[in-house]
Amino acid sequence: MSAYIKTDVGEFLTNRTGNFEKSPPDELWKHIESNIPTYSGFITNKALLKYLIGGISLSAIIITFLIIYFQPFSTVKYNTHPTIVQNTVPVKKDVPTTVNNQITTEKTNTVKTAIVSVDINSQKTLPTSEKNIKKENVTKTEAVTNVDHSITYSINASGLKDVYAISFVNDKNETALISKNPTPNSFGFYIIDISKLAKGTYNVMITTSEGMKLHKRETFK
Amino acid sequence: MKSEMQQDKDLVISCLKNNREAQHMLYKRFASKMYGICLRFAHGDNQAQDILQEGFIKVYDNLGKFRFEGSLEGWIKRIMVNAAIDYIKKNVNHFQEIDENSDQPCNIIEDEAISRLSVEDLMKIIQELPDSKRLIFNLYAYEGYSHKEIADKLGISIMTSKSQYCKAKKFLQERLTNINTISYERVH
Repeated sequence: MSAYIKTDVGEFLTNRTGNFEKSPPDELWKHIESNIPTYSGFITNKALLKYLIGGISLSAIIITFLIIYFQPFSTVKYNTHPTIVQNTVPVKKDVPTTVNNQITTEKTNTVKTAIVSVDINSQKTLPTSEKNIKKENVTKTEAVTNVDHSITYSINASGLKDVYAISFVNDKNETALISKNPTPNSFGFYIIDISKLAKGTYNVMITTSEGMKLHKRETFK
Repeated sequence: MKSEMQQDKDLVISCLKNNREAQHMLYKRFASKMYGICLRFAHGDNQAQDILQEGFIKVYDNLGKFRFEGSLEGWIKRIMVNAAIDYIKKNVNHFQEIDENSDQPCNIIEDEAISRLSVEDLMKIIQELPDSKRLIFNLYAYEGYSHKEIADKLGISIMTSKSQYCKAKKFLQERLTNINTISYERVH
């Protein structure tokens, strides 16, 4: 006679079926296989993957910054030499300097420009800055103005000897202008600057060793 | 000779290299054990196959997260149990709140008739349990969950977990007692 054991139903089933195994149908694998993802590379560690992505992004940013900073024709470099451009513009001489020229070329052009300025104004000192060049231009303009606006009166010196003075006497018998001991120029004329003479009629008197004589009566308007 | 742990590691690494043969090998190695677990949780073969399929898809999806800190089998089993819980929870609208004494003993007399029952027969008896009772019975009796853990996992009270487990045992006790009675009547 066999002994009957009183046991808890839960324990009984756990003991009997706890290690139960059964082969699933073969077609089940096909369904599972079609759902297996394709693993990209062999980076299984998520943290490592994050670091890798972060590193690549940082490198890309640094490389981009370096490319922009060291770009030879960048606008930043161009703006650092504004004086070179300003110096070449007013002279309009020699080879025109372009924006994209190398720095050394631009410097050479600046020197040439300076030399040209010296030739024009007959200056001994080399103008090196824009200010100097501007000053010379002003001086030159003033000189031309004096020549253009000066009024001269010429007297042929061929018939005259030992001229002591040439004077301009107005109607009130006042000597308005006198040129003492004048010398004739290379063409044989006495040149008297009468630009300071006021408008009106004057007796042009010539004083020689023989005394004062009326040369001509002139009206200046 | 390589240890089992090292073999598992090599197998996982091969799977992650998209080696189809290794992926199939991993399936073949654990499919029978996992299918046995699924059959306990499921109402029938079809449900068990659905749970197994869902579970293995999750295994392959998360294979890169396996840290080789524990056994590969344990890790896969945890995924499979969670897949079973998710599957059954979808079908169970609510767990019936039962307020009765859950400390009653549910013993059976393990006699000759019961002893002769095959494992497959016992599995069928377990599968006959209602979904909620079967789930709680599996988690408590087979997977070693406490009633608190079950309550947290399923979003029910500890009392409900206890009473459902007791009801499940009563159900199984009755089924096994009936088998015993039928068997006794046949003999005499």
